[in-house]
Amino acid sequence: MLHLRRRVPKGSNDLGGKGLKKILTGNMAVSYGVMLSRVEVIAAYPITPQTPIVEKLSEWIAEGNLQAKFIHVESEHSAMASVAAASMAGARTFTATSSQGLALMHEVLHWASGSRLPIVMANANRALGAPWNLWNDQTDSLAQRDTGWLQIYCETNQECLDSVIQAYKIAETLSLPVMIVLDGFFLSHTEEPVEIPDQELVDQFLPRREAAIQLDPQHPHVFNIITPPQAFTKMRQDGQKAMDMAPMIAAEADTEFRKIFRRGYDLVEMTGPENPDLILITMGSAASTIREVLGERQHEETRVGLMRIRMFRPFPSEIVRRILQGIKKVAVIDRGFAIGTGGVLSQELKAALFGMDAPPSLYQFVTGVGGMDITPGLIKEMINICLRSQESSKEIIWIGADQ
Amino acid sequence: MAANRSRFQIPFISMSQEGTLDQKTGMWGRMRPFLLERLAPCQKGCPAGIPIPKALKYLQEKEFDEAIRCIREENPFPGITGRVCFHPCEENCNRKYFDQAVSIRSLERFFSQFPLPKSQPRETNGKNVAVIGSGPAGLSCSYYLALFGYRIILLEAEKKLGGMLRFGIPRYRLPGDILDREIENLLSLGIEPITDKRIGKDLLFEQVYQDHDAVFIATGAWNSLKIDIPGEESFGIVPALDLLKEINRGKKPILGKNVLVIGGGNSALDAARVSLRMGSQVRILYRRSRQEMPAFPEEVEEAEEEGINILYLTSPVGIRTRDGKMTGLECLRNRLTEPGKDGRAIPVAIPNSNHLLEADTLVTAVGESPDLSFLYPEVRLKGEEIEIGTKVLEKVFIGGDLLPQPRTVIHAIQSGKEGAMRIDQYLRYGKRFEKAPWTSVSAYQRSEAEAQGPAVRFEDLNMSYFDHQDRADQMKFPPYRRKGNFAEISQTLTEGEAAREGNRCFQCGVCTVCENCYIFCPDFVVSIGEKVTIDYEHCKGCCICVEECPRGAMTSEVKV
Repeated sequence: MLHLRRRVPKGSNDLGGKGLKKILTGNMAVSYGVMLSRVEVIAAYPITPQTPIVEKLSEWIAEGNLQAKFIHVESEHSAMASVAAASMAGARTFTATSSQGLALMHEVLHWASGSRLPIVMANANRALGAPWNLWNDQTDSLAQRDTGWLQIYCETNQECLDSVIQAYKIAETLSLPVMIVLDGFFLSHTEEPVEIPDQELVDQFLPRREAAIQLDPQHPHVFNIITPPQAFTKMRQDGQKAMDMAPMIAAEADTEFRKIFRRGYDLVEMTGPENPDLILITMGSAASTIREVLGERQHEETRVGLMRIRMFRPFPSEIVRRILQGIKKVAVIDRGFAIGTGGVLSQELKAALFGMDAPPSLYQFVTGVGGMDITPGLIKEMINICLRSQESSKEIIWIGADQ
Repeated sequence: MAANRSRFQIPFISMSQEGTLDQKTGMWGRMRPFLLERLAPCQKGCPAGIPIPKALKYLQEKEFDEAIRCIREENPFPGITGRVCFHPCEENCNRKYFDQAVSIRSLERFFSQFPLPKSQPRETNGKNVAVIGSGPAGLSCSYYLALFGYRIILLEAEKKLGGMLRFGIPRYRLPGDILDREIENLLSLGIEPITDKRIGKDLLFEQVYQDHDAVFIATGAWNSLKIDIPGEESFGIVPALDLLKEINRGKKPILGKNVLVIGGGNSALDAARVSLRMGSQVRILYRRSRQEMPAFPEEVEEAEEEGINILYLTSPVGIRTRDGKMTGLECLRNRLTEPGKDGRAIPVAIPNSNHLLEADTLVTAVGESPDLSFLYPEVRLKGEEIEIGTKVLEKVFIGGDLLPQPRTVIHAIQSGKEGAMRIDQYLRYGKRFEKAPWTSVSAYQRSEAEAQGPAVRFEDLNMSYFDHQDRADQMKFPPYRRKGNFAEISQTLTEGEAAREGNRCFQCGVCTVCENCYIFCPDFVVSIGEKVTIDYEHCKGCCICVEECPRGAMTSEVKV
């Protein structure tokens, strides 16, 4: 179970694969994932830090390297509406956004999931204003947790690329939309070596989309007409059933992915010693910094582990409960915070732990919002707080903020 | 039971069980949109009805051969009109309300460079027609009659063909080799030219009349009118047309240092600019103001660029002479009063405004009239007929400047074309039309109905689909390089310029299958084949297609 310093996952090069390695930003990695997935329709509106994703895609389309239609739109609302319509017509679709752009899409996000459209969207995290802020903060995507979208949070640029390809497989199996989330700037604008999978292998993993129901001008139907309460409820139940299957489908997709590409990602990733005294829980790129800290303190007496939640929606409650069985202390490092709600991941975790026999003591840290860097120093500070304390905290513990 | 249950099974997403085509939504609407291609204002404004949008469409598709073919169908001399036409097409171009009119004339000149596959005349029908006069009207009439299958004899009094094109238009506007090339194209149809034979002198009109099934007369207006002031017979007074003719024959008439030109028409401008090129100082006198000047504005501008002074509101009253030679011109100043019958303000002399302009040469360009005295002494023009006494000459048709119409090249070409159609009707069916019922010869040949109705207006177009773009004009040599020579002053557009200019055409009233109606129709009732068709069973009549048609090719009506 101990595999530290895995910031760059082992590429298939070591294992006999023939993929090409490039130095890419997270944004570029997403673009490659989209191209390899043979997406047919893209609509997007620029917003920092997402913009390079769709810029690159539009270049590829203009150069003829990607056979897709790029729709220019005047807002994110229209971007989502356009890809929803294209998806309804049977196309494999993609868009990307950040922050206020995602917030503007909110209404159509419901429309996409309610229509059971397998859209894949990348969200490069950025704080929601006011006040204006360009930097990383997961509140924007976490605020969309109730829109019926799956959410996958990436730790590395390689994972960004791979997750896009996996996301289409999952979305099209479940007929539900998937959001790939990457930390703004920490991933979106930072370069790492990334292996570009072979197109043939990707095609093998991800065949053409076959839509169960699609628009056909020759045989027109009305879609999403006003629906009576019983039928409406039935459709919500259907959606929930699909969502319930999501962890299983995602795990199956990952197993198949591992077979072909010799790498993969658990929905909940554990790192560190067996039976730790404390488990730090987080999402996204902060996990890599935590791994560094855990590596440094390998030989210390108190054992600290890391749980990285990769799939946030649906929340993998069962897996989390199984792992946390018998653990004494848990610290959530939340990069998503809402006034009045507190740390969003803490809320989800608390809901998942409800009714558990002897649940662990919970420490709710909020740090790294509005672009703040979660440094090894801050992580050590949080570990020390947890280890020194006898009781769990009922209140938010703010770390790194000016007093 | 099972079937029953499946009928009520709730689908995966909210979706109508029945296809929406069963709903005949077409019954809901009050309006009915439809495709109605209409005349573009350029084509409507062209006296010869050249299908300009069609030609420019071919240009946009880079099919130059097709473009020139459809122009030559209605105008056999694009190389000539592409240089000297007064381009009413451009005056009518809708684009001028958006930025500037499309340079249609420059494009016509561009097209004229492309060689035409030689048109095959129809089998000779055995009938002979004599055409008297080889100006634009006579040439055009010969061309179309030859195409219809007639044997043509083209009679010309001068040594070379071309009439006013050759002798009235200065070479810097229409180079001789261009004219020769256009005429050669025409003669290749099997027309027999007889030059240097003047009717009434070398040939008898009676003979020509008897020997042919029909005669087309287009001898033009060559008689210069007199200004009717004392001293007009002195040395140094020359009619404009005589001057132009001399110079176009390649001679170098001796002009004075100080030339005055009287008149405000194109002949006056031509004479002035020619004199300037001969090395004289030139001033033009015109009795009204610039606004009333009948010359084409472009010519006036070019003349001024070249340094010609125009003295407006000035009338001559007498010529001063010494030893029979002109030394000066006594003039009066005018003021303008209310417009007269022709809509132009009438000039009235201001008393005691006499002044003297020193000059040694006076060129008169106050108008020309036709002279048919070579036919019979008592011949008379009556509208489009020729009468001798009270007898109409039945086999005779006339064209060009003999007709009461504007004296322009394109009007002359059209009159030749119409003459050919009238002669064809006369010789084939014995019908003698006073006026040709067709404008388009291709419609006439194919017995098709001609495009009718009002032209597309600017308000009918949707400007959201067009970007502003500057007009490509022909490169013109600067004035200092125009002096002292008769080289053409402008250059043909390059292929790149022509392609860009062609793309500026709105294609008013033409369906270019841009698919806007299809894209915008919220009900999917528009389908695109070669043109647009609408499924009226389901069209609710919102008419977005009409609104979004960039070119005014869609129209709507209230359903009955």
